[in-house]
Amino acid sequence: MSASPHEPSSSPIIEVKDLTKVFGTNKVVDNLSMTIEPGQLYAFLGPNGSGKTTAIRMMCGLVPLTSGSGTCAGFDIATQSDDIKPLLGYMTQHFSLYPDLTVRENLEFVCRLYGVRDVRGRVNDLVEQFAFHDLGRDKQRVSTLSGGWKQRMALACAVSHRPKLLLLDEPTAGVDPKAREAFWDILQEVTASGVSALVSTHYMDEAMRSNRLAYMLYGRLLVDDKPENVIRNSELLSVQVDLRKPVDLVSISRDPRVVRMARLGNSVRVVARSADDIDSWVKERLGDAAGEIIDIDVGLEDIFFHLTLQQQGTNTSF
Amino acid sequence: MSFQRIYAIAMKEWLHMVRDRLTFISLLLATSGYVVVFGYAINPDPRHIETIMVDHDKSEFSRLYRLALLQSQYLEVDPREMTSDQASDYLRRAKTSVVIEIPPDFTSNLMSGKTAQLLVEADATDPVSLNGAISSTGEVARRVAAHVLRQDQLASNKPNGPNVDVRVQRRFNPSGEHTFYIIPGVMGMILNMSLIMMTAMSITKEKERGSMEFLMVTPTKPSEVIIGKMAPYFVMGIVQVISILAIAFGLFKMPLTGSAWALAALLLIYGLTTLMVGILISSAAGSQIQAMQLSFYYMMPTIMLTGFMFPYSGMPEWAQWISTTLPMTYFIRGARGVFLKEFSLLDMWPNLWPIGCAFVFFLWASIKSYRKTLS
Repeated sequence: MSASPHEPSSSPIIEVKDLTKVFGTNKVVDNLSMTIEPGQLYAFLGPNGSGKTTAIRMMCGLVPLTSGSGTCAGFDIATQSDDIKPLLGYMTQHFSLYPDLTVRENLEFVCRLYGVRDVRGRVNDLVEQFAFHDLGRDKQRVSTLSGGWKQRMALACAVSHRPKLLLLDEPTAGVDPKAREAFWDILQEVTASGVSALVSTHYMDEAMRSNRLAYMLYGRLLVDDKPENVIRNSELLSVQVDLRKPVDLVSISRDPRVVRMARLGNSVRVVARSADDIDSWVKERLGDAAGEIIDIDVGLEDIFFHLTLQQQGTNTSF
Repeated sequence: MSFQRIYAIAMKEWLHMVRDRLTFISLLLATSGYVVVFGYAINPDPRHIETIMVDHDKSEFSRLYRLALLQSQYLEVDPREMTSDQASDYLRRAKTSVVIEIPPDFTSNLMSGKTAQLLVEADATDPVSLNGAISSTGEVARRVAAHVLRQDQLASNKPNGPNVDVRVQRRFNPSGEHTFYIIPGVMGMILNMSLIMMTAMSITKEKERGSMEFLMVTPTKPSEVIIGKMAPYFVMGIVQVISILAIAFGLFKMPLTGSAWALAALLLIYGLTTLMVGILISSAAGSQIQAMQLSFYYMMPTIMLTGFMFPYSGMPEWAQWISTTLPMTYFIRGARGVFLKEFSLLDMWPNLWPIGCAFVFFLWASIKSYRKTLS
């Protein structure tokens, strides 16, 4: 069993410093420094094109570095990728196993690639652990499985050789909420056994289930903290205002006091930097259309939204 | 029917086509390039056929006959002096296509009004392409003989011209069976088409499916991927060869005059090389469509320039040089040799090592072009 996910160990599973990747004139990853401790479940967030996938690929030697340095499982990511590979479990952004093979055949294939000794025994264990034996899914061709089960199988393949580290690139993209939840239940179970995981995701609920999260934008790391700290340290406020009559929200939305505004069914959700901003905006913009005002929680999405706007040098998204 | 919709689809297809740069450029270059190359290279009635003259007569006739043959342009007479056995061996090893033997009594028979006999041995593994050349040996001989007789003022005694008899011996395929000529080539072609196509798809399929990225992060080495990809197609190739041979021997009564080991060695090295070409195309191409195109571009000269469809001897020197870089050229020579010309393993060697070199080259290029990273 490895160190507790909350207590930093002396030898991080991933430690990168000033990692930079330039494609042509485009700096995709910009001086990224990160440390992932053994056993930690680390969520990697950021909008599309923020450099998450490239950063993950650099960490396992799949994409050469332009500059910077780092280690993965104690090996240099620039020169020792062959030593890193056997210790790594990997899931690509899109399902990348073999749809014309059955679940068992895929698992056996991956076990053999990693040199697992008792292939049949290990596949049986995985089939049971990932509940493929229900309804005989283990003998089903992967092309006939739902998206959620496909991703579950990809995770089973990624852990087939008992890796030290999982690098999962948007493993639940396009998967329904129930399947996502099941996926994360298994993932948490796997990491509880001491396996570290870096998981890129767009889902904030998934980020909240991780031990630590990193938020990346334009190749730069903006946040690297525990999810509860990110929420706690946020200075944003959020309210839900009931609407008594229809309001043309488009005309009132361009306002520097509002960070984010979303129309719900019969109300409007507003995120701002201070209570004064909210009060004055409600009075001026909604007037007698405003009904009851309820304080609601600020979410990670609001915080990252705000950070994105700050980076773009604007006050509001509208 | 809506013109606007047709226009929209046509425009979209056009954009797909021009943006796939490799496809677009290769389509244009290959079209014009192949028309020029094949247009100049292919000649079904070959000239300048390699010929050895075994001259036992050493006469004025043989000197003039050699010059006249050169002028006829059908035959390219080797200036070297050879014995009958040496010439025959050259013919068997496909180092020459025609051997003309002038017996020691040719001139004396001619002068004394007897029948003067010439012996022409021709490699009949290709029964058609040498017809023009063979008939020219007799025509030229009669013309030269008439000239010699005129010089000696003996022509008036022979109102029907000189009495020259050309005995043509069609070696290795005396019955002139066209099937025997075609089957070795067809065998190479089938292996080429099926194995190259299948293997060319194999790595590109992984790239398109996205599983290549997954393979790259596993400890799998490029050589392991390449051998693993080749193995099932190799087995398929063996099955194909067995069926082709069964049909050739059973249905077409094809003889196997040479060593079975020589045939096995040729098939093995050629099969492996063909698979390696497929793997190289597969590593270099970005998509399955590109792989298909590259396979096609490789196969076109293989069909046209290797002696499979058109005689090797009919091609100009530069085209023959191109064909020496294609493994199929050696396969066809070797296969015809072992089926029809009693090739032993030793006789096969000159056709085995060039294919072996091609295999090493394609292996090296495949490993080089196999990318271990995604950048």
